[in-house]
Amino acid sequence: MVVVRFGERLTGGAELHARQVALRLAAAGHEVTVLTTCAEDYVSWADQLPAGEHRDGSLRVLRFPVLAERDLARWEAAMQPILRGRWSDADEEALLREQGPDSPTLIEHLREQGTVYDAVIFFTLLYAPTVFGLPVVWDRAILVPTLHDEPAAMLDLQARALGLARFVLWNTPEERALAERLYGAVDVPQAVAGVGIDVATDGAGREAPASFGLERPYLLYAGRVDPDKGCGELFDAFLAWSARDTRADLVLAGRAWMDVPSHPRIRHLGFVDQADLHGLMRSAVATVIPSRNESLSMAALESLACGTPILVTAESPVLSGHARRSSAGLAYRDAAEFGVAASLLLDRPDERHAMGRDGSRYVAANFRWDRVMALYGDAIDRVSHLALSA
Amino acid sequence: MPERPAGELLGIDDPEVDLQALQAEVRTLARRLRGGEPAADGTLPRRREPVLLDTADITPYPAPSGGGGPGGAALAVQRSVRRALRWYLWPVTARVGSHNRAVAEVVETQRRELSAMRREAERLAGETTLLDRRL
Repeated sequence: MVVVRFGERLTGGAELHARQVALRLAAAGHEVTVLTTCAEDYVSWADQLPAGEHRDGSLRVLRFPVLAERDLARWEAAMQPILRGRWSDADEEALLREQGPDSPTLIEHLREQGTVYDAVIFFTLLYAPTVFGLPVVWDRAILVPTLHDEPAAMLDLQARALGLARFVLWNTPEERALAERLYGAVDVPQAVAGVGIDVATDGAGREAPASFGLERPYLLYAGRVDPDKGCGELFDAFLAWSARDTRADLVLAGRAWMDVPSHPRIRHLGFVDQADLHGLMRSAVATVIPSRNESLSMAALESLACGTPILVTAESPVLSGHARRSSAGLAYRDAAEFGVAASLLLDRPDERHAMGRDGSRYVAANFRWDRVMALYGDAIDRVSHLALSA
Repeated sequence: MPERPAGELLGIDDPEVDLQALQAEVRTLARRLRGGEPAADGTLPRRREPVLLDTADITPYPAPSGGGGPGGAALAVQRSVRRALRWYLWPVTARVGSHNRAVAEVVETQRRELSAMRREAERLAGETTLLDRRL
């Protein structure tokens, strides 16, 4: 498995996803080696962890150094041709190197040792290790693109890597549709796998709202509080709504990477553990997800699994897709629709609870680990039978 | 719940809530709140445009030189000449610019097709190697 960062402490969506899959593959009897970098920070890619071989439970982890930390000024300069919509092939390579993590020794390992592995699963199409590494072991490559709608995901080199993969495992049908819009038809064996969602049913976290002193109804935001996640727009929409309707607070569960408005009805709890998070979700009026760039959204699926509807930005096709398929979410296009939807959910508790039940059924039907791992197993069988022998 | 095709996500087929009706109600009430104005639509991602477009449009004026340029009487004469030739030069440069843009689009289309063929050639070369080794 190739992934840009790896470790128990990392909470990023794709990295967490990769680790969950790796652990389950190992539990199913596969010998799993994770090829990753020494970086923990996805902005700088600074080498913070020692290079070399390590164990993470049943997993063998090989960490490779990153050639250079990200220089934000150079990265922004390399992004300019893409943002202007006009770029050359050389611009693509320059952007990928500047974006990082650029780890030539990881690619070299694939070149020299790639045939040792029956299958190589690449997580995240966006980054250099996949774009430059997948073509090296194309005959045994499985790609989990975790593709977002963003300028840096429109490169021909990414289309090349996608086209060379032996099998593609998408998170959602909307992610696949985005790939088709960006790169053209994807003529590769593929399936929509997603992840399994585990939510405790033993009442763990039930006391969380009381322990955080939450006595009023609330909308929950779960995740990194970050402008890139749409939190600025969320604060604007919530404050506009709260001037008209004062029945609910906004509760933020996650570390803040931006200033949180000082307002009596916005509560920032900081990081909360998973049991407490699920307890908070169960008691929320709705979980709000304002992020445009999602390939899956675990927060949405965990909320639905907890029986709580989602209130999502309509700018994310993935979130709108979950809302529509589950019948358990409302999509808003602007602050006015956000406020109207929040008020409706408060006005109609019966409908809200029915939406929650629909949401639980949606997750139970689609996002079970046995289903997901069966798809990974099929992909590995298929690829390893096709791969060139060493 | 109908049987799921392998590797696809399905919605629930007997929801307790008529979500479409609820969503439509949200849209209608929000529109009233906006005074009848529709919501702004999101934008689709930008696609790659031909690099050649940067130089497609040409101007009838010479590129600015490094010097301070003409001054006084010379500038007045230059302006007069430009004004006098405007009726003739501008349509010509507009047509040349239009032609350049069309050429740039064709070059970009060819580049995209070549790129796709290169990918396919790479894949087929790999398949051939694979078959050779198996024989």
